[in-house]
Amino acid sequence: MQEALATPLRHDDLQARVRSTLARLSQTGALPSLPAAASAALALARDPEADVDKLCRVIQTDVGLSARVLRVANSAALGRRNPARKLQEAVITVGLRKTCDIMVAACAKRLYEGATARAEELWNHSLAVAVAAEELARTTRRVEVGSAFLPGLFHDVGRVAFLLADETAAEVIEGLAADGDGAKSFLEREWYGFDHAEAGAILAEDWGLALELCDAIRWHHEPSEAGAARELATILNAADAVAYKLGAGATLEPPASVTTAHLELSPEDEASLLERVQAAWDAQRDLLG
Amino acid sequence: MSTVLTVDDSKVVRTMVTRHLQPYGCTIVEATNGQEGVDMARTHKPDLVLLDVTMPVMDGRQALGELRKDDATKGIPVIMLTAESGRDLVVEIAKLGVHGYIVKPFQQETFEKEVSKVLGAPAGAAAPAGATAVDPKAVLIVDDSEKVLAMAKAALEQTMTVLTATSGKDAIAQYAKAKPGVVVIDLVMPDMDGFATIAEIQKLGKSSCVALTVRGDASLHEKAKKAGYAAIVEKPFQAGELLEHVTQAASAGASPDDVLKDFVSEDGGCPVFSLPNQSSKLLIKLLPIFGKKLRSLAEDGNDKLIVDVAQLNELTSEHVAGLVRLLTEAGTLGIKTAICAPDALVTKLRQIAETKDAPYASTRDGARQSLQ
Repeated sequence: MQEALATPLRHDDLQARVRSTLARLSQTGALPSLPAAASAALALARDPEADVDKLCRVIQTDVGLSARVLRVANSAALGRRNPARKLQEAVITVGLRKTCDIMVAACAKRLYEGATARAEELWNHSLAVAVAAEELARTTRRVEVGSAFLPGLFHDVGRVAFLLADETAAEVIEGLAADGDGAKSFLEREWYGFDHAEAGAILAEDWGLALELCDAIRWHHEPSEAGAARELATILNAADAVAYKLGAGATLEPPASVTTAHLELSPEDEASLLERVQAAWDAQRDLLG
Repeated sequence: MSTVLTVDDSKVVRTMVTRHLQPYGCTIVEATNGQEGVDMARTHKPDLVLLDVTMPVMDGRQALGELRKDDATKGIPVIMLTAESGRDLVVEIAKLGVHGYIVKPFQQETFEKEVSKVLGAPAGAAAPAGATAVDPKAVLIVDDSEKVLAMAKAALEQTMTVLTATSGKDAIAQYAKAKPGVVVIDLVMPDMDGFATIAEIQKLGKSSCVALTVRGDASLHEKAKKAGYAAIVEKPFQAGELLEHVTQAASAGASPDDVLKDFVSEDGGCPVFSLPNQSSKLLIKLLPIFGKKLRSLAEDGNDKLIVDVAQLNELTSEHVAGLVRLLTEAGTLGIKTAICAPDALVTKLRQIAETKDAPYASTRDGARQSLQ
C-alpha cells in the first residue's frame, strides 16, 4: 500500500478515487447521500438571497420537519410568549441559519439510523461535536458562531461511509488501532488509500457544504495543516475532545490527536464549557428524538 | 487442509485476508515482504499465494519472478493484491502468469470470487446449482392493483419477459415455476404483504427484489432495505424509472457472463464492447468485467477491438473515465481499438486528451476497416 502514501495525489485525483472506492464498496454502487430536503437546506444556508418563504417551502417538502422547527421555536430556550403556530413565525423566531442547521441535522440523522449500532453511536458523537463546536466558536470567538455546527455534525461522516461500506473492515481497523498497531487514520490509509477525514471532506463537498468548512473536516485531526481553515479545524479538533470528555466519544479512548489544549482555556472555563455543551447536547438529542 | 500464504506489508490487509479466509478453514501463513514471501513459499509449499504488488525489500513483481523461476514454486497459483491506483501495473504483471487479482480495499464477496477459483467454494457456501439459477430476462410484478400491474407491464415488456401476480401467494407459486431474475413487489397488500412475500421468495432462489411503495413513507424504505430489497420505487412511477431500477436489479443478480451478453458481441470477426446507455452503476459494474474479457481476448491472440458508444444519449464523466480506462487497458495488452460513435460524440471525445487521437468511425464497418 505504499503507493498511496508515497505519491501525494492531486486533489481531483484523490477526490475521484475516494468516490470510486466508496461507490465500488457500497451495495448499491452509489455514494451515501443526504435526503433531498437536507441538500436544499445546505444550498439555502449558502444562498445570500435565501428568505423565510424560500426556507418554508423547502421545510414543507419533508414530513416531520415542520413539526420539528415549530418545536424548537416553542422550546423554553427561545422564550416566546405566545407559541408559534405558523411555520413562518417559527422560522423567524429560530432564525434562518439555525433553522437550516436543524433541518440538516434532522435529515442527516436518517443516514445513521438503523444501519448498525456503531453508526448510531457515531450519530451521538457527531451531534455532541456539532454542539460543542458551536459553543466553542461562541466562547473563543475564533470563528463565526454560525459556521461551526455543520462541519461539527459532518466531521466524522467519512467513518459512517466506511461503516456502511464494510462493517468488517471498520471493525478490524478499530481493533488494530486499539491494539496499538498504528493510529486509526494511518490504518485507514493503508486499507482504503485515504482516511475518514479525507472521505468526510469529499462527501461533505459533494453534499454542498462550503469548501472552507470541508477543509476544516479534512484536517480535524491535524489542524495545523488546514491553511485558511485552520481556526475552524482547531475548533473541530477541540470539540472532538470535548465530546470524549462528555462520554460521547466515537471510540472508547480518544485518539491522541484530539485536544482542547490549543484553546488555552482555564480549568474553570473548561468546566463551565463542558456544562454548557452537556445542556445543549441534551436539548438537541431531545429535539431530534 | 489447504495452506494459503499472504504476502503484504500492511497488517490491516493481512488481517482482512485472514478474516475473509475463515470460511475456507485453511492454514494461513504470513509474510511482510517479497523476500520473506518467496522463502516461506519454498518452506510451506502453499496451495495459494496472495501477493501484494507494492512492498519494501522485494516488491510483488520481483517476488512473482522469483517464484516462477524456481521449479519448487513455479506451479503455485498466485493472486495479486493491488491498490486502486496500481491496476495498470497488474495488467503488466499478469503477463508473468497469475490466477487473478483483487483490488484493495475488497469485500468478502469479491475476495471469495477470486479465491474460490483456486481453493474451490468455501464449505457450506455452495447451494445446488438448480436451486438458485434464475432467468435474468424475466421479471415478476406483484401488486394487488390491476392498474399498477398494467402500467408496470407496459414499462417493462419491451425489454423483458413480464409475469404478473395479484397476491403474495400467487407470486410464490409463479416464482417457483419461472424463477425470474427480478421480482417487483408492492409492500402493502392484503393477506400477505411485501415483507412476508420477499421472505418466502428468498427461500426459493436468489433473485433481486424491487419494492413498490407509496410516495413519502420514509420509514418503510429502511424496513424494505433491511428485508433485502435492492431498490425502492415510489408510486406513481414513471415508466423509465421502473425500467432503470429493474434493469439494474437484473444485472446485480445475474452472473458476469449474463451481463456481458448484452454488451460484448462480435462484428465480422472483430470483438465489440458496447458501453451501456444507463446510469453509472451499471458501467461501474461492467468495467471490471470488460477488463477480464480484455485479458482473455489478449490471451486468445486477439489484437483488435471495436468500442461502440453509438447508443449513448449523452457523454457523462463516468462514461469518459470508463472509456479511457478501457482504451488504456487494451493498449497495455497490445490490442488496437477503434471507437464507433456518431459525429456529435466524436467532436466531444476529440476534446479530451486521452481520447483525442483514437481512431473514430460512424459505423462498425468503418471501425473494422480502420483497424485493418
